[in-house]
Amino acid sequence: MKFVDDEIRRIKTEVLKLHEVAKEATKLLFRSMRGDKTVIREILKLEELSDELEVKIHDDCAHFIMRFHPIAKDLRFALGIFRIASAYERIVDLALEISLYDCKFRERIFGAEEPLMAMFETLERAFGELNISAEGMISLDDIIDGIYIEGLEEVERDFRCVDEVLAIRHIERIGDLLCKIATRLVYIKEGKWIWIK
Amino acid sequence: MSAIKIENLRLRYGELEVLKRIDLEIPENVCYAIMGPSGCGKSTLLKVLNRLVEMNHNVKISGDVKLFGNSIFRMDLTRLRREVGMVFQIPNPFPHMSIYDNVAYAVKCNGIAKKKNEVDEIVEWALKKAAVFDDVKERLKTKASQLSGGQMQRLCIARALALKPRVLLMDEPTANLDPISAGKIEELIMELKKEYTVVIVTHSPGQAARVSDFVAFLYMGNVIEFGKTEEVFENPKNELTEKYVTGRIG
Repeated sequence: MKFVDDEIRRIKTEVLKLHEVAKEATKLLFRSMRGDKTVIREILKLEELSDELEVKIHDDCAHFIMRFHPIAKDLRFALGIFRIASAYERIVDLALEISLYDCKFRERIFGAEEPLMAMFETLERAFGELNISAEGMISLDDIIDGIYIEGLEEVERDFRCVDEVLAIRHIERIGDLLCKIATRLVYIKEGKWIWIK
Repeated sequence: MSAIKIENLRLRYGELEVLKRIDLEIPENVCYAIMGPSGCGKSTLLKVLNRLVEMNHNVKISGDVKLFGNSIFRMDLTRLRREVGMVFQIPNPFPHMSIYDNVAYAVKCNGIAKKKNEVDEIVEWALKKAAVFDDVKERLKTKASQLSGGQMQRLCIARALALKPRVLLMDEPTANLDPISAGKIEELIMELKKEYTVVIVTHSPGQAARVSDFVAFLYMGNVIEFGKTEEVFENPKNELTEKYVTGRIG
């Protein structure tokens, strides 16, 4: 029915807004780690916006289920989007936490920026058609995991501060969350669950 | 101003009280659903709104119904029926008339237009508005009885729209249709409510949830609960409403 499709399109637009917020916050967190602390205020605003958008998307999904009693692909859409919205909101929370850490980060961690941005872009394209190959996302996440493991080893050899350890862990978590979003999109599209790690 | 304001409405068939102190306000340009189990009085309530209920014997009505501020009981009946169109549960086109004549007849009888080109224009407009024109444009002169159930129902909607009503009453308009035809009628309702006030009676909570902006739940002649559809379906205040929308009574 056309009005059901219209509602799905409207919710997708909201999710894409949240996607943009999470992407921007992730970009800014690397600027903050490089020493530009002026961006913290911007990330704070993005964090508030992400909270609002998450609540709105959850409400919209609840109303969608209540009004249209969706089944099959439409039901998977509503269920998947619930989880996707929460994952994006969590990414912005992590970005804010990382931006508040105050230490001199080792260069290796900045290597995570490029694969993270590539993951965001892959998801952006995937939202258009709700179509995604999870493998591409998994290989990008593997790069981030590699940086995480090597980063921790480096920290073990030459410990400077706790903030650095937490930042590495949070960045790895952002990669995981983006991967999870990809698996939800696969679930919406194909109805199958992909378990990563 | 509300499109319809029902004030302290009571209706009896002889000794049987069918509607008990109904108060409802229906805003303009919305779809307002009246839902409830069989025999709760929802169709009777709908038929009060264009005074069709008065065709029954032994009917006693008290209270008032205002249509855009004017009492329908003091209104000229022809004018009322023109302003408040109605679509019934069973599609009821005039079967011996052509598709074209089904709409044109209503237009001519009510003096909406007399010249052929004006009538033609209104017929085409109404058929388009009812989303049936593309289905029938090549066979306007064939009998209406040859249409499918869903097409017949949309033809009946076109016939009602041709009189340029402000309110459209729909009494379980999809009850006799297959799911695809029912879906088309629901889509049409979503379009029509942008320009008309649509009051739909349905026994299906699902349909009320899908198409309406506001909903009233009727039970044994009483309005148990009314409000915005999202609120009533998400968090009904009354236990009976909750039982009904969750399928525990009905």
